[in-house]
Amino acid sequence: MVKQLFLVMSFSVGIAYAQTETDTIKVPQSDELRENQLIFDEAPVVSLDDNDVSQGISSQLTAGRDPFFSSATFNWGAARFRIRGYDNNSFVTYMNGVPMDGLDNGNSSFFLWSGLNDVLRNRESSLGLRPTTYTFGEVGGQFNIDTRASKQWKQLRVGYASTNRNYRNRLMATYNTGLTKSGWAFSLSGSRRWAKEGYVPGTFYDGWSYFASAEKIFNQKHSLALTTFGAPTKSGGSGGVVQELYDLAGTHYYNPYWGYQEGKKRNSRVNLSHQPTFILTHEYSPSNKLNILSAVSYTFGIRKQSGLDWYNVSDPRPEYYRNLPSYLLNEEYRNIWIDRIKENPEMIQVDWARMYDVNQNNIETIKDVDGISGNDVTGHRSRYIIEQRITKVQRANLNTIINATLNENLSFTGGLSYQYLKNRLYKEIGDLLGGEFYVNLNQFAERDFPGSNANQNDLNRPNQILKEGDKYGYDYEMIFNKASAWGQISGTWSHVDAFLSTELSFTNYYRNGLNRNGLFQDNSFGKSDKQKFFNFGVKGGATYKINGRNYIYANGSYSTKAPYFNDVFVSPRTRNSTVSNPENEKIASVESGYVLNTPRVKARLTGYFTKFDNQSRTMTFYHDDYRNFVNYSLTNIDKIHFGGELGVEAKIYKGFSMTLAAAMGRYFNTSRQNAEVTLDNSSEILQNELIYSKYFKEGGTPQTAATLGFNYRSPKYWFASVNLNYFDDMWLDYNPLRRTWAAVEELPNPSDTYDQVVQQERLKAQLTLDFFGGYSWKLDKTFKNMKKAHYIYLNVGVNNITNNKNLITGGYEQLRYDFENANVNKFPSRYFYAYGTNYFINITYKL
Amino acid sequence: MKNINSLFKTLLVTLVISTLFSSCIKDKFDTPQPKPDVDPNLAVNMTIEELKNLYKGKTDTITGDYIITGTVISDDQQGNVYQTLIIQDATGGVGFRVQRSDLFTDFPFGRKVYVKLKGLSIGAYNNLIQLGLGDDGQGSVNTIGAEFVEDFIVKGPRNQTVIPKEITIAELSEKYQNTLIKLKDVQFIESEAGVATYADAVKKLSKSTKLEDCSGKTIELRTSGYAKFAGNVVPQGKGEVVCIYQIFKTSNQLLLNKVEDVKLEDTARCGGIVVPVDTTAPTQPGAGAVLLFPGADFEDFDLFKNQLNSFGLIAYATQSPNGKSGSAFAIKGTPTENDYVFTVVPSANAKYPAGVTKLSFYVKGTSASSLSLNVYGASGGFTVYNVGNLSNNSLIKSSASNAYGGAIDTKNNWVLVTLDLTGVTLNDPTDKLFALKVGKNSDYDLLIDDIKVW
Repeated sequence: MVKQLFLVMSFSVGIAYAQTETDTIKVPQSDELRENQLIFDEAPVVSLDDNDVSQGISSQLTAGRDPFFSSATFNWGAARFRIRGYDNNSFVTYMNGVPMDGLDNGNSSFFLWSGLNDVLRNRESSLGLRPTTYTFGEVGGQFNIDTRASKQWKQLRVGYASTNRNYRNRLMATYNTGLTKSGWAFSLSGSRRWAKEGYVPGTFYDGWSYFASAEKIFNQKHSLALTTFGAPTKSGGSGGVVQELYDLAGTHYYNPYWGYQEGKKRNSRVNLSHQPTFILTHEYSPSNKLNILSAVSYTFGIRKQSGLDWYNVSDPRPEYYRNLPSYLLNEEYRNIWIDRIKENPEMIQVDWARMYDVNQNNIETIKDVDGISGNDVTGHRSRYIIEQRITKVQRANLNTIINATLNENLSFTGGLSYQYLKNRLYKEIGDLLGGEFYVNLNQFAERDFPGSNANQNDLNRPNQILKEGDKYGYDYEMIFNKASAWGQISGTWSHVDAFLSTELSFTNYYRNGLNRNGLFQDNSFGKSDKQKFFNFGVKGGATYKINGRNYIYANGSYSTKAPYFNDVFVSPRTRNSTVSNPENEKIASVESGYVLNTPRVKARLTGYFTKFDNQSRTMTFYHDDYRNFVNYSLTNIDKIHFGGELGVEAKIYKGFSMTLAAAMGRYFNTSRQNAEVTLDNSSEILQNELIYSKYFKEGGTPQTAATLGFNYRSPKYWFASVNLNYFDDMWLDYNPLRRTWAAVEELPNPSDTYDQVVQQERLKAQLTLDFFGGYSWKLDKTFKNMKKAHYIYLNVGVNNITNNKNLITGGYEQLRYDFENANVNKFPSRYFYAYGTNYFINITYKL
Repeated sequence: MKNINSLFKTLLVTLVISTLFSSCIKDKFDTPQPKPDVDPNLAVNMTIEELKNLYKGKTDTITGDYIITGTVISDDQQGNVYQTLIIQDATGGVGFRVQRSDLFTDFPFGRKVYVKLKGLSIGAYNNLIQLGLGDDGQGSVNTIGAEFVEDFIVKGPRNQTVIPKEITIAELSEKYQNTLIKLKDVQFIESEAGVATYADAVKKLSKSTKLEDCSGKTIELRTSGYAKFAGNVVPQGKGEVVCIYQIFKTSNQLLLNKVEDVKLEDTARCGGIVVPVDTTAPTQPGAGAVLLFPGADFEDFDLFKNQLNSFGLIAYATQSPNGKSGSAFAIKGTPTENDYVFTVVPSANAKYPAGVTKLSFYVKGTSASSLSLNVYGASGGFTVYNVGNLSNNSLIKSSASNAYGGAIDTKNNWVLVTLDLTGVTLNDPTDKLFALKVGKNSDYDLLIDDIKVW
């Protein structure tokens, strides 16, 4: 278990590389519009690990109406723009009446329904602090998707897309009956997305998705719908590396995870996910003044991520700093090495053949297997293996939403919700790479406590011999319960709309250790203390309708939020320990804006100010000073996010129109964070360090983004648009370790070294150019004897036409830092680059 | 026309199905067949002895096109050998400084290698000749960078036989440096045996321990604090040690590959002191253990006495009510000779579980000398076990002859003494099965219970 911790946290995983497919669907507002408007397929956000999708709301949930929102997701997704700089857990997504966000990290799990674009068209999104009719919401925004069969347009669609992003081909088919006379409606959809190799070398993609919904509308009052869907997906991963490796490889799309095995590319970081969901939704509407939507859902499934693991041998990963030329002191030899790599690029990829060779020739005797004296096992002991980090998920939701019209002005919305989640996390041997067994030992504890049983991952089976498929390392469960109730009163008058809502919730969670490990014999097995949190929120606002075309609005909210499991449990893979005093986060937000809605011009201008107080976050990494794995539990994180959003859509002349969107925000820390430092191999609190984090900026998103677009829509059913995008104020995620007294006490200030250590890196501003176009062909015009209206739609999207390969979408300072020499280049920062020119061409036949 | 409709439909369906078929992504990887080792058969033109003669007192680079061959005799798996690869041929051994910490993966013990010497530097570290890359400024050489190792050191076939040279401490000399040797009949010195650790595992500091032979000659064994066995206590017995002989300035030094190379299994040290060789002694009899003979639990003392030979039971041995369970066998007195306390005759219908490898009994109390036991096996012969010093559970291996040296003090606890019966067959009919002996002129106050085999 601890090993997995080491590997996972040793910055090779940190942030998975998520790419957004940025073709948007503009949801049709009416049948008529559908006839005339061209629908481009929106490829879903493909994320390799839902935990790492920064927002991922992008494409699928775009609301056509809001010019800012569609630009934010459509044009800025490639730069991993986050709306208002918020994390994914500041948004909430509902489907058919149940919330789809994970209780463990608050993230919306878009990958649950990737590839099912056809059936997700009926949706509403509301950004910011606006009121909704289905949830209290979060500061960032809320999304609701209604996939029930009766809401799906009657049609048959078959489409094929060719692209060069995470996958290369997509086949999608959907059949909806629409609401039939018998009151039944059925909907079926499926898709297949695949690529032998995606845009990044060594990444393959193998995904299926399925969807089925059956609904019966009994009468005016009752309807019942059962919906099920899933997206089993397997893909080969990639990751951000240090600049030295990009330079050695000669490309920004170097992927350290793959290597040749007998001539075929094999990826060591394979992601697999399948979490089928079932939702039963009942809608009761006795009159047009009352509507009660109740739903129950169940999700179960598995997520797996593979990776290299090794025992007491040197790190075989090509991106390990000691395997790079920069580690060699002798310059002459370093240059020889660099030249060799340039001639022989396989040198910086995974060397599978060597690992097999070592395992197939390494005979060892393991003594006292399973703790039985004299039970010795001799055979080929693998020193290198592929491990699988597995999360098994079980989730159930019970939710009811009431909408009642109280009188001609007022209405009430409210609901009750209960959510349950159980995650089981463990490691498994994926592939023994030519050996016969692996042994369930913690090599780091072995080094630190030689001769004791601290090195046992499972004290009940010491020195356990492991075969493929055996569990090892860590094994624990996270169990969550959340109950909430909310209510909202909203009023509509001639010139004013106003609302006030409130929410109360109770959350508890705990860890249940399923094995007893040698390092924490008394604190690893069994249930931890239950962490309990009470949270509330208040939200309110008003819109003043100056006239039918001009509105101004202002909203505000204050809420508290329970800290997340991984930020409270210091090292959940090893023990039940938590931070000393887990506390709620407090969020206060205000926004105000102006909306213009004329036939020629649609515009929205908004300003917002949000204050996050008392956030907490745990980071684990290898610490050079302690020569051990260290947990930094950061608390007292206060942030401010404020800025403005502008979106304008204006018709210029005949079919020409122009869009302009801009987001200018400032997202930064306002407090000196506190770090409680614990070692993985011991439970004592090493120190309480003060992090001088004030005014450090949020990384991973451009804080300034703008797009200028020109669009032409022809009456002959084709359109084309070009967008110029600008990204700036992109900052690298900083290492809190470097902003401590310990890091700088011996450095002269001011000096270059001091600045190097302390200053946060700002990434260069970037420009990209996108093109979108499409054509719609009504077949019955050509084949006059076709009875129904058949269509063929062709959509073409080309992103980053200028092939700008220097757009850094994210990155982070490595948490490992050379304290002794204050050398930031010993463990340099890691970067992720956006794809160069990429396209999505889709052809759909619709009946 | 209907045709177009159905044509369209068929076209569509065919298209979909054929696309689906072409979408197979194979992600299964077969285990590659193990590649047989290849001998590159490079033309060797120098011996290791000749190589060492190239060293002229200061660090220098080798310019000649010399190629040597040798077998790897170092093994860094247990962390004692570090960033060093030592090879030997018929003429001697030499070490290479290599910047890798898992040489055993690619250059395991017993692998034949060829070394292309041109470009390597030769130096000496406190008189121990070393090869590397570049001058380290301190008389020796820098490590060969990991990336460049195989430019110089070429792999040959694995699993070559290496026979350590049997030699005595007195015979060791410079020409044996960096070769694999076997010292026989050596032991750790009295003050360290059973007490000192190989190195300082806590502070991760290197330490020397001393080995001596029966003629009194000593030699240092140097172990790194990072070795996996650094914290192990050095064993008490006498026996053989396989190691790499090195020199440090003007003195001899030994380097261990792994702790299993120290086989000090003879419980009789030079000078006659007997020590138990304790290797994870069992704390209780194994599952399915049975009494060695009727009455071996001493509940029915008459039954027990009926199993003995004509000499019966010695006078100072009685039954005690304070057994581990029920009653026990008590020895209280001061023998004047190395007495047989009792000898058990095998029963005609004795049945033991198949594959019996251990004999155990509980002991509690104190005594100034120890116990010695005879287990009678095939054709009248017997195997001797000397308990020696006893304070904790002990696993005793057989000895050459009876010896009573050692003291017993179980600190008022019951401890389990287990005899390793590997190689002894109990069921052979002889006139004796088992005998217990004590040493003369020593006070005994012991309780013994539950003699079992398993």
